[in-house]
Amino acid sequence: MSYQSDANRGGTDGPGAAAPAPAGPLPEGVPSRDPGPPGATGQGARPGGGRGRSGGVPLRDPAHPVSRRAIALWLLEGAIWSVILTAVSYALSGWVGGARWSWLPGWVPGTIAFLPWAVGAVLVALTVAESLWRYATHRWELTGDVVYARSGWISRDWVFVPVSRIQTVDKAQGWMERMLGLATVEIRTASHAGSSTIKGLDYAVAAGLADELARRAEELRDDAT
Amino acid sequence: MNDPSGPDPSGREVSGPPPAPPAPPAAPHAEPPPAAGASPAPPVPADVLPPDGVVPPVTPPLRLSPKVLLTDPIRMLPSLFLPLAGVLFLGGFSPGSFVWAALGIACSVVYSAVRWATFTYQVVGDRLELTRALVSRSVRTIPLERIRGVDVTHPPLHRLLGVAVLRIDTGAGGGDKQEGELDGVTEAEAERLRAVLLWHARARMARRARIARETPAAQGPPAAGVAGGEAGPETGAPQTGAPQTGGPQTEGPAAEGRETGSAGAGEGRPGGAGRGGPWPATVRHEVGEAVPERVFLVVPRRWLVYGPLSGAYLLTPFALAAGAVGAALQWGGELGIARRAVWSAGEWLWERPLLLAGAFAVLLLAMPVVGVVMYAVFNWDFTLRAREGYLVAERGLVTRRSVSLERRRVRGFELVEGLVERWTGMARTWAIVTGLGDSQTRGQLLPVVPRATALDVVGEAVGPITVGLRPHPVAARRRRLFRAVFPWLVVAACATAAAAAWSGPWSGLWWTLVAVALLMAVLGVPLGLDRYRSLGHVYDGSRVSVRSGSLRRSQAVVERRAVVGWTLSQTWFQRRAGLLTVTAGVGAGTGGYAALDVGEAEGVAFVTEVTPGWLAPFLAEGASAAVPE
Repeated sequence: MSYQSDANRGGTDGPGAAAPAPAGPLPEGVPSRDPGPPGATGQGARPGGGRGRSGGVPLRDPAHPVSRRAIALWLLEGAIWSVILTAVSYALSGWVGGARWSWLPGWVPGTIAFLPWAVGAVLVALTVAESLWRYATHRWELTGDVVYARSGWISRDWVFVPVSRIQTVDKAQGWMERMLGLATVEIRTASHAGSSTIKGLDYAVAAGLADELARRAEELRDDAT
Repeated sequence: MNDPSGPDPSGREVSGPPPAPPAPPAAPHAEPPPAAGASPAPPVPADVLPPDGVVPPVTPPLRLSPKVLLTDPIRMLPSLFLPLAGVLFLGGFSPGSFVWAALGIACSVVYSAVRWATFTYQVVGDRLELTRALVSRSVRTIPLERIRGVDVTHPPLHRLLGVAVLRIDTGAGGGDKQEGELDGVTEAEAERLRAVLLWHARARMARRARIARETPAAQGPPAAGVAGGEAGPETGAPQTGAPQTGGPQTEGPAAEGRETGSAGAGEGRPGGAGRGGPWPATVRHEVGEAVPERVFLVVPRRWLVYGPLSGAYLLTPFALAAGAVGAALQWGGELGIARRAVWSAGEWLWERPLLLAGAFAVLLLAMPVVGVVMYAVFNWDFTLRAREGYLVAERGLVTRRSVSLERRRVRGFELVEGLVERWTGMARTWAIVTGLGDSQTRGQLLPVVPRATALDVVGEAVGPITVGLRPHPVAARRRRLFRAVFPWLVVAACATAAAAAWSGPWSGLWWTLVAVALLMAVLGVPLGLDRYRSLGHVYDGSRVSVRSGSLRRSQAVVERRAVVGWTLSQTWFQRRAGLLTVTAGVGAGTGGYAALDVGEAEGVAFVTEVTPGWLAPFLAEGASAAVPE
C-alpha cells in the first residue's frame, strides 16, 4: 500500500500550522487539486450529481475495497443471526399458538404459524442485501499518513485517523475470519471517536497494513493526546 | 519489615548514623503529635548518599498511619452490624452470643492490623511501589512520570483523626488497575507525598521539555536556601526529616515553602535544602519557576442556593422516602415487626388520600430545601486555585475533597447549562483533561455559578469561550422537531389503537396515556426548536467548539491539538436530509465532541478547516471544483 511520506504532515502539528492544506506531491490516483482555502468548501451547496458518490458527501471513495471473502463473512454472520432469530420466532409462535389468550384478536392463533417463515425470509433477504451493500461501502485507504476508512450499510461512517496520533494497531482474527483467511485491523487513538476498525481485510493485506501503520506511527508519533 | 536496607520506618529510632542528632520523639513541631506515626521517614544514612552525586531518591518503605486500626474497623461496622445483630437476636443475648459478637469485632480489628502491618509504600527511584506482603507478596508499581494528579480526601472519620486518603491518578484508561490508593496517611504525610509525587511528575516533564539549565531569575536559589534554612531551625534543626514532613506546613501555604519542602523530599535527601549548597538551585530550576499560588474563585456561600437549579439532588426527598419504605419492608422482619404490620400501615395510609397528598406535598416542598442542603454538603466552599502547574478544585463540608488537574493536560472545557439555569443565567463548568478517569466528578471546575463569573474564571484558568457559533442548516431543524415530536405521536397512536381494541375497564388508562403522549408531542415543538437553536459549531483558529442540547445544553471548547481523529457519520435519515454528524475524536473528556446535523459539504469543510492536511487527499473532485463558483 502506498503512503505519502511527509507531504501533509504540516497540518497535524501545532496550532500555528493552520494554513491551507499543503499541496505536496500526491500519489497517483489522487486528485491533485488544491482543496482551496479552508472554509471555502462550505460555501458551495451540495455538489450536484453527488448521489453516485458517498451520497452527496464531498468525499471520494477510499481507494481499496476489502477482500471479496468479506461478503462470505457477512453472509455467515447474518446466517447465524437468522437461524437464531428464526428459532426464537418459531418457539414464540408455538407458545402463542398454543396459549389461546382471550385478549388476542381471533386471527392471531391461526396465522402465527407463518411467523417463523416470514422472519426467516426477511432475514435472509436482509442478510444478502447487507453483505453486498457492506462490500460496496466498506473501503479503506492510507494516504498522506492519514487512515481513511468507510464503513456501514444503512448508515455510514467515515473515519479519519492520522498516523501520528495512533496509539496501538491491533490485528485480530475471529474463528470465522480465520476460516476465511481474513483479518481485522483495529487502529486505536486516545479517543474512541478517533479510532477505526477495518474489518474483512485479506490476512496478508491486514498484516501489511498493521505493520506499516505501527512503523509509521513509531516514526511520526507526537505526544498529542 | 521487608526491606533490609532501610531502617524500620514505624519507629522513630534511627538505625543509621544520621547527619544530625536524631530527632527527639516529640519534636517542637507545629504539627499535631499524631503526625509522628508514619510521616517522618527516618533519614537515610549519610554514607549511602554522596554529598553531590545524583542519587536516585530513595525513601524507606513507609506504612500508613496506625490510626487506620481505628478507622478501618469502624468503617467495617455497617457491614458487620447485620451479622452481629443477627447473632445477638438469634442467640437471645446469651453470653455465648456476646462472645461471638466480640469475636467478630476482634477479628475485624486483627484483620485491619494485619492489613496495616503488611502494607507498605515506598518511592524507589522513579516509581512508587505499593507492597502488600501477607502470604504472597504483591507489588504494585506506579511510575512517577505516569502520575497525573493526586487527590487528597478527608472523609469525616479521617478528618476527626487527622488522617487523609490519598488517591493517585495515573490516567490509566482501563479500570483502576493502575491507580493507587493510600487510605489513612497523616495529613502531613499526605501533603508531603502529594508534593513528592507531583514534584517528580513535574521534574520529568521539565527534563523532557529540556528547560534551560539555568534559572533565569536570580531570586531562585537564595529564596530556596533561605526557606530551607528557616525550615530547619523552626522545626527543630536536629530533626532531619523536617523538610520531608513539616516543612511545607510550618511554612504556611505559601508556594515558596512548599516548593522547597517538596524539592527536599523529592530527592529524599534529608536536610537537602539546608545542606547541599548547589542542590536546591538545581532542584529549583528543574521544578520550574515557582508560580505563586493563585485563587481563582471561592464560591460565595450565598451562591449555594443556586445548586438545585441544576436539578441536582432535587429528588433526594423521594429517594429518602423510598429508601425508608424499602428499609422498613426489608428490615422489618429482622427486627421483629411483622411484614403484615407494615402492609397494613400502608393500606391504612392508602385509604386516607388526603394524608397521602399531604405527605406528597411535604416531599415536594422539601425538594428545594433538601436539594440546597445536599448540594451545600458536597460543594461547600468550592475553591478553584492554581498551584504549581495544577488546577486544584477543593470542595465539601463533611468530606473535603481536593482534586488536582495538571494544567499541561487541560485541553479545554465544557460549559453546561440546564433549562432552568439558562433562565436564571447560571452555568456549570467541567475541564476537559487528557487521561482523567471519572472526569464527571473529578473534572468539575465550577459548580453552579452565574454564567458571567464562570466565563471569567474559566477564561483565566483555561481559556476564553468561543463565540460566533455557526448555525446548522434548516434541515437540521426539521430533524430536531421530528425527533422531539414523532416518538410521542407513535406512542399516542399505539395507545389509541389499544384503547380501541380493548374497550374494557382499562380503556380509561389508555386514553390517559394518549393524552399524556399528545401533550408531550406538543411540548416537543418548542423543545425541538430550542434544540435546533442550541446547535452550533465553530473553529476560531486554535480551538474547536461544538454545542448541542436543550434541557442540558452543553458547549465544549477543545484545543485543536487535542483532536486525534474525526468520525463523520450519517444515518439513512440524515442522508435523505443531506446532513451528517461530525465527531471530533479527542483524547480527553468524553472522548468525542459531536456537531450534530451539519450540512454534508459544510461538515467536510469544517474538518478541512480545523485539520487542513488530513482530508485534502480525500476530497471529491466535484467538491473542490465546485468551490470557486
